[in-house]
Amino acid sequence: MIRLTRVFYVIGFILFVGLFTAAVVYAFKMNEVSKKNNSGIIPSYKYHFVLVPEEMDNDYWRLVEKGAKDAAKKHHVLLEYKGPKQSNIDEHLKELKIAGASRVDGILTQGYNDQQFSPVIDSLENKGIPVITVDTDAPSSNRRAYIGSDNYYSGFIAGKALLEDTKGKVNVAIITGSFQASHQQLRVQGFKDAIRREKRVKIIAIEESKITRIRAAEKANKILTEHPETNAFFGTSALDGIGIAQTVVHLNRQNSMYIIAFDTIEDTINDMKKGIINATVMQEPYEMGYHSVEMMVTIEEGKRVPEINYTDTRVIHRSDLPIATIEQQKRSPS
Amino acid sequence: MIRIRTKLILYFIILVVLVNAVAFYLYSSSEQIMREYDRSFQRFLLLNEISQQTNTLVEKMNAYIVEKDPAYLHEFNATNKKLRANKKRLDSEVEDKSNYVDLTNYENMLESFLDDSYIAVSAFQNNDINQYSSYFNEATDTSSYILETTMSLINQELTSYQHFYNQLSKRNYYYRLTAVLFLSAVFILCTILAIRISGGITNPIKRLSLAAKEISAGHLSGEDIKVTSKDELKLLTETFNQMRKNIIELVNEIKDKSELDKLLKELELKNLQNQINPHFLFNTLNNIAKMAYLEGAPETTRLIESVSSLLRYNLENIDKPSTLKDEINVVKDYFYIQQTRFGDRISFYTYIDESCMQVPIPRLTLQPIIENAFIHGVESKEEGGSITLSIFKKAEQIFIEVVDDGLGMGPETKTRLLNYVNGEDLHKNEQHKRSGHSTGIGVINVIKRLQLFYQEKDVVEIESELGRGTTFRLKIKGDRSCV
Repeated sequence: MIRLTRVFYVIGFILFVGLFTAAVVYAFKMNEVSKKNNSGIIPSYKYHFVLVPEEMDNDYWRLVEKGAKDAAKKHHVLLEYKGPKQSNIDEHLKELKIAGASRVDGILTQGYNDQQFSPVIDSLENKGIPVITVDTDAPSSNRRAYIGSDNYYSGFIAGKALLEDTKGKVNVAIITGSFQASHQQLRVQGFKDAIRREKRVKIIAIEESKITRIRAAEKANKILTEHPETNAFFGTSALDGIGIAQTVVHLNRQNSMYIIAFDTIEDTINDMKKGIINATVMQEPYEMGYHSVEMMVTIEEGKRVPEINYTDTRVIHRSDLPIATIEQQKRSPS
Repeated sequence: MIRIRTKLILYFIILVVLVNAVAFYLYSSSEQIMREYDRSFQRFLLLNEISQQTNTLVEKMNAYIVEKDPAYLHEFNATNKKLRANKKRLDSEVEDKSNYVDLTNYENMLESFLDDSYIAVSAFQNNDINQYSSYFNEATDTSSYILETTMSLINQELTSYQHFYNQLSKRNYYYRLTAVLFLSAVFILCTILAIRISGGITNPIKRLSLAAKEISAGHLSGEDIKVTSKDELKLLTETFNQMRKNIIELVNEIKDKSELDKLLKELELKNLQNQINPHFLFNTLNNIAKMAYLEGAPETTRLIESVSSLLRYNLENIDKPSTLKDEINVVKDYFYIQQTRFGDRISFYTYIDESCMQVPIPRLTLQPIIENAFIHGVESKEEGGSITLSIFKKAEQIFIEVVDDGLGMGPETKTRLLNYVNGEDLHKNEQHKRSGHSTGIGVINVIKRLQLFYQEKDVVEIESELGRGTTFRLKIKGDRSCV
């Protein structure tokens, strides 16, 4: 009887201790959950910049963003990457205005179109927010500086490459991203100037792709239907080249077609490897992004920066691939 | 000694404190969950309120500029103030790691909006048309950005709310588990304590009542009840044990007394049987003695007188204690009678310490022993023998020694006697066998009476050897007068 009572007590006590321990453990777990919820220190930063691209999900602009982010990390800058989902001037301008209303420390943006952009950039500068144009300039505005390719030059070297790579009569069609965008205009202008003196080369059509791949393919199809004699294409924005290539392959005319594209996005490189695209103009978006942030930091520190900063542009062919070796070659001396 | 009351109070305090602590903990935890839920909800409300106030502000500004009614200006200022206050709440209530970028922009936008709208209204009051229209437009633009950003912030909140909700339900799950576990742990602890404490009180009582029942049924001799607690029950148990011991002693005393009474009654009965008419016999013996004296036979007279005095002593109330002196006188009379009978064959010697003659002694104790010595010792011995009675003091005790040089006892008889002396009962019929005594009182009866009279077992010593005689030694306590 006494032993039974003792066993009962011992079991009861063990049960109590076990339950109590479990309860404490779960209480801790419960607190852990709520702690996690409130954790997270807001990082501190020196400056708050906004980078507004013409289009958010664009491989080319993603590279600009990458460069900018790397520089931002180095200089303790909070960098926002905000822009239209699809290329759209109104939305682009709105983002700039929002950034102005948000009183950021500096704005990095594409210039795009001088007439529409200049008033907005000027009003931002009036509010005391410095603006740097990236990739495309808005030269008539009060922007502090421009960093990016010399677009006229890049169009010009594309034309030169066409002349070098082709023989005989060439009917070239141009598909440009936008008729309004100044950098596109400059590229087309540079290209035109390069081939002007050569009689054998004739520009047969110019169409606008609104920098979408589908539109580019559509326009290429239109050109080829209207002008079957076309035997060369020049795409002046990043997606034009692959759009053209798609149509050309679809119509099975890749063997007799010379295509020169713009920028080194992955699809373009792949088409180059297949031999569909013959050459492309290589810009340096990473450098642009990186240096734009560094320049903005310099401005914030009250120092002056040169107004025009051109980054390198060059034409590459299939033989220059892969890209990594080009970049390495380029970086090693500097 | 910890009192039962203290124990109970302690138990209740532990119980109340424990239960309350657990209840409080659970309550505060659930409160915390509710608070968090509330806070998350407040964020939505705050954002919503800000967007509404932004709208109101634009409306009021518009209305004021169009209608120039100061009432609108007043409302404009009031809304402006409220919006500013809400803006200040943003940092502490809404900002976190996931939305700080948007929130910083949002706050700055609000600031721009508030500033622009204020400047617009001021410029309007100063009739500065150019400025007010540009600031008015700017403010209106900014308000639309604010509304948009509000939507996107609310969207973000909703997205993170999913995560928050998951956490909350996880927390709730843990909370329920914790609550159930805590409550069952406390329940078990309380049960153990309750059983232990109630057992601590009822078990000794149960044991006590069992023992009491046994006692009331007459079973006095039980083991002592063990004390397990240190409270009032310990006292009760100990007292109970003591009481039982006392009762046992009392009962034993009563038993002894009743046995003594029984023995005396037995003697009386025997005496009555023997005394057909003792007074008649006694008177007749006196007459014969007188007659013998008148007829000139002094020897006869003396003998008869001895018989007469022996008889008289025998007739007196046996309950009444006698003195040593009276006992010795009776013995002497008895001896005289025997000497007349046996003549020179026996001799009787006495060595008596006269100082203790008044010591009380049960009646008829000495005579049966002397008689025993005659019957079993010297009577059947043809060459005769001697009996010596000596009384002396030693170490506050009086020794009465009866020594004979008769036949002695065999070891069997002696063992039987000693067994009896040590408290073992003899068979009844054996007692009857031992008749032949003049008084009908046997040695055993004497010893028993002595033991009861003095309340001591050790009253007699017997030394004996076959053919060499017996020594019978009585040890009695001396009384104050003779020690």
